Amino acid sequence: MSSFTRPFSQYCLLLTIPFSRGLAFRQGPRLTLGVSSFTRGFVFRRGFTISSRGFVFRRLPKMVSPNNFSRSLSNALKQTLDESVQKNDVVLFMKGTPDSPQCGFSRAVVQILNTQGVDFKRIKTFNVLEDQELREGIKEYSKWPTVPQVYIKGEFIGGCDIMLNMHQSGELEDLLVKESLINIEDSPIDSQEQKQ
Amino acid sequence: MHKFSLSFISRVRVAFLHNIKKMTEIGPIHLNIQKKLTDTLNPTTLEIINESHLHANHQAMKNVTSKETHFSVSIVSDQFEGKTILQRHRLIYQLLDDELKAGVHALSIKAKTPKEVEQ
Repeated sequence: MSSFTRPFSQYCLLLTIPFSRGLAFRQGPRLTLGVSSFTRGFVFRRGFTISSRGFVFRRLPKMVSPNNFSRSLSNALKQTLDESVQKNDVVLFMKGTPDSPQCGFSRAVVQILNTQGVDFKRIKTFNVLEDQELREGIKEYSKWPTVPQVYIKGEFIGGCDIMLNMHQSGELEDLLVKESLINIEDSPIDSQEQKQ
Repeated sequence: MHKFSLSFISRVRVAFLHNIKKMTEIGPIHLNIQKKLTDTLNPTTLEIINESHLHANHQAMKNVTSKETHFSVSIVSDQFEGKTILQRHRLIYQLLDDELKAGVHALSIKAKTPKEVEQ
């Protein structure tokens, strides 16, 4: 069993550990002295390494964000959601699919969109029941704790209650016409007037 | 015929009373919601209804045992003055953040100002 000893001066450098300031931040490499790649030196204590020149590298403790929310939304998911919301005219996060909704509120939103005459080929729907990460992530992404959620032209509109409100007050139809998601001739109010 | 119609009526009555009983049971989450909304928003009218049993058999609620998962909240408060519907809903969701994390799956909200109610 060969014992490995270093020059005393290098052990003195251990005393610098409390004073070694972390240059790495949460997203970056978690080593002090700002070195991202470093051939493995002598590990005298778990998390601490001495290079051959005597520099002490120390792994910074993992910083945990105090905000509970940020656990659920990974960067990849956020990007996917950003893309979907910007690319598609209407995005609907619901429980189930438009053909078979698994929740009364989701079904109500689908019915409202149907009544308004929106073409379902232009709507991108996400089934949150299929993907647990999406189910939690979308709540943080929209800062809205319930599903269903509706985005129109990149803007968050709301959930079932808000959609129902807007549908009854006529706001929804105005919005859909403005964003050219429905034709004015097909709108329910006009067709009623024509019948009269 | 006579016996059949009696049992039908009694079955309807049993179901009716069963529903009323479920909807009027007040659990801890119900009380928390009531307390938080009353303290912060000073409502003139506040109505909280537990609708969990209406959703208990749904596919999405298969593995859930809690009796307090769906609520319907109707509030009239002048603190909603000047706020859009989205802002009002977001405010209420923020106040009830803990309850939503603790197992409440849905909150159906009707938030109005006293003036809107008079109309």
